[in-house]
Amino acid sequence: MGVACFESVRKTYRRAGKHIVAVDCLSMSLNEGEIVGLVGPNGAGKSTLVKLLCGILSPTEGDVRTLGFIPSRQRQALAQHIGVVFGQRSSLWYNIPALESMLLMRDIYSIPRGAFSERLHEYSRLLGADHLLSVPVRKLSLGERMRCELLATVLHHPRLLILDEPTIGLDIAAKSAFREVIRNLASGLRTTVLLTTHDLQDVEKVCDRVVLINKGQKELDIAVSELLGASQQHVTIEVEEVPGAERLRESPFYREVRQGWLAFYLPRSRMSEFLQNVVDQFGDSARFRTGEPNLEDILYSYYHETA
Amino acid sequence: MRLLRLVLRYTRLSTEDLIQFPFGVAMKVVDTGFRVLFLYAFWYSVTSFGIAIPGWSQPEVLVLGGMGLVGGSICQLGFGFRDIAYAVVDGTLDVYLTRPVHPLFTVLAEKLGIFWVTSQFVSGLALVLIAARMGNLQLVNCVPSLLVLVTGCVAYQTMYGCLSLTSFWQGRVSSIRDTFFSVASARTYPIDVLPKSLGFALTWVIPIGLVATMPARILLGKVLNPWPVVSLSGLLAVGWVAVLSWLWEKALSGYESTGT
Repeated sequence: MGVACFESVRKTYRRAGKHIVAVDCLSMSLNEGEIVGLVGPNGAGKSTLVKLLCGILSPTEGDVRTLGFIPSRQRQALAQHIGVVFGQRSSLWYNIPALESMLLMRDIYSIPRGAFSERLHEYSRLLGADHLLSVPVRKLSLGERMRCELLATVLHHPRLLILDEPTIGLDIAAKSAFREVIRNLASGLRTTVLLTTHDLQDVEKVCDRVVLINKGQKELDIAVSELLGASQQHVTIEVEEVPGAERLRESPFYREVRQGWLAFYLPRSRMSEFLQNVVDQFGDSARFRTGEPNLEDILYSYYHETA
Repeated sequence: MRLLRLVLRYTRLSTEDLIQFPFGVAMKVVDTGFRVLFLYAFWYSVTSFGIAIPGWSQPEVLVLGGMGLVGGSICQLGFGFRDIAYAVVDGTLDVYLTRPVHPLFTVLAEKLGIFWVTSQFVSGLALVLIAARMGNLQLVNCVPSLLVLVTGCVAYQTMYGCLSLTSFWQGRVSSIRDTFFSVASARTYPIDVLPKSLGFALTWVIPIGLVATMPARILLGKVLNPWPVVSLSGLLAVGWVAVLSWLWEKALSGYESTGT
């Protein structure tokens, strides 16, 4: 059953008399209980898509439906059933203990007192935020604040949870707890989750499906299991950037410079050929290392291979 | 019921926010004391030196000052209109738009300055009661006076809200706001001593006369039949609320948000 659906959606902005296309003829849907990762480079149109989904923006063309509502016309009614975390914007009151903001959420979403207490206890424990509730938000670290932000967003059991870069700044333990809450919501309550992220671990550990957006268009829509299967056939090699190494940038496997190292993402079957080529050009002094796989490397590689 | 719960919740939040900084509260109390003292000293000096304010005796200008403070207290409830421009520019409005509560209510509620609302109300009421001991008030006029005060404040604040909403198109609008404030600072003086056309404009065009002078005149029995004023003031408030509502819809339909 489709929880949210975009049909041939186009969104343009007017800037200095020109129309800028943020989303172009995009169609996709989100199913009940599904966790979808929305990925793409900065300025790809991810945030615009999120805002269209919750009714902050109206589409220029096409149709958007969220939980049966037309978001731009029925925004307030829809808001009762969704939860949104904007990673850069807070819903918490800065100077006072986080618990007060949770109580505000109880009143905003009319959560029954009993259910509220149960959920607050359960999710704060799961997120490791129970000891943070009595602390003024201004005294929390970014990671602690994000835990409280997520807690405030899930208390009303939204049917659709939209998370815009929620794991930025979280430590490993907090990320793990965060992912567990997301999975519990999706499996237990059939909550649909849309997660925008640049973190491969988020996608790998939480998402069922990943959608790659670039220049306002959907470039890829694939099950994470399929994507990870394909990525195991590949390897990331980084070569130290030495004089003359810019020639290597012409390689079809070249991705980007990472702190003085040139990163290449290539099929394992081509690895020895690639390394031999580098040694031939730069001699035995050439330095290599295996780099961490990058989500966008995998996605772009997959996209170009299947296109 | 839910609205009442939210009003109580935001009042509590505002109070909690206030008491986090006890020294700040103490300074605000001192500030309020000075304001009231200066207001009293100003009018006492003006009238004691024999400077005539046509139609206003010494206790009557105290009533005016008191009504100005009570009006200021009611206007404080709309203080959040000031921050619409910031919410639009920094993207906070997006957070408000994802909640099942009217975003304008949220903007006003989150910026509720409970201290200023309470302190101005209490000190204004105290001034009015001090003047009442001198025997000038017509208690029978309390209701129409209060109605004009409330509707006048609604008209004045929604007009200000409309100016703030232009930030959806113009971005920062602090210069317009400052101009409006500079005109509005005249509200603590008796508007009816000004030339007739200016007094009319400052009562019915920019309704600052309705947030102090007119309610004070009604309370003092200087308006023979206050009900036409009550009606007009009510109509003005309804009119400005309608304009604000229309402008809000227009603003949202063209809202482009900010990046993240």
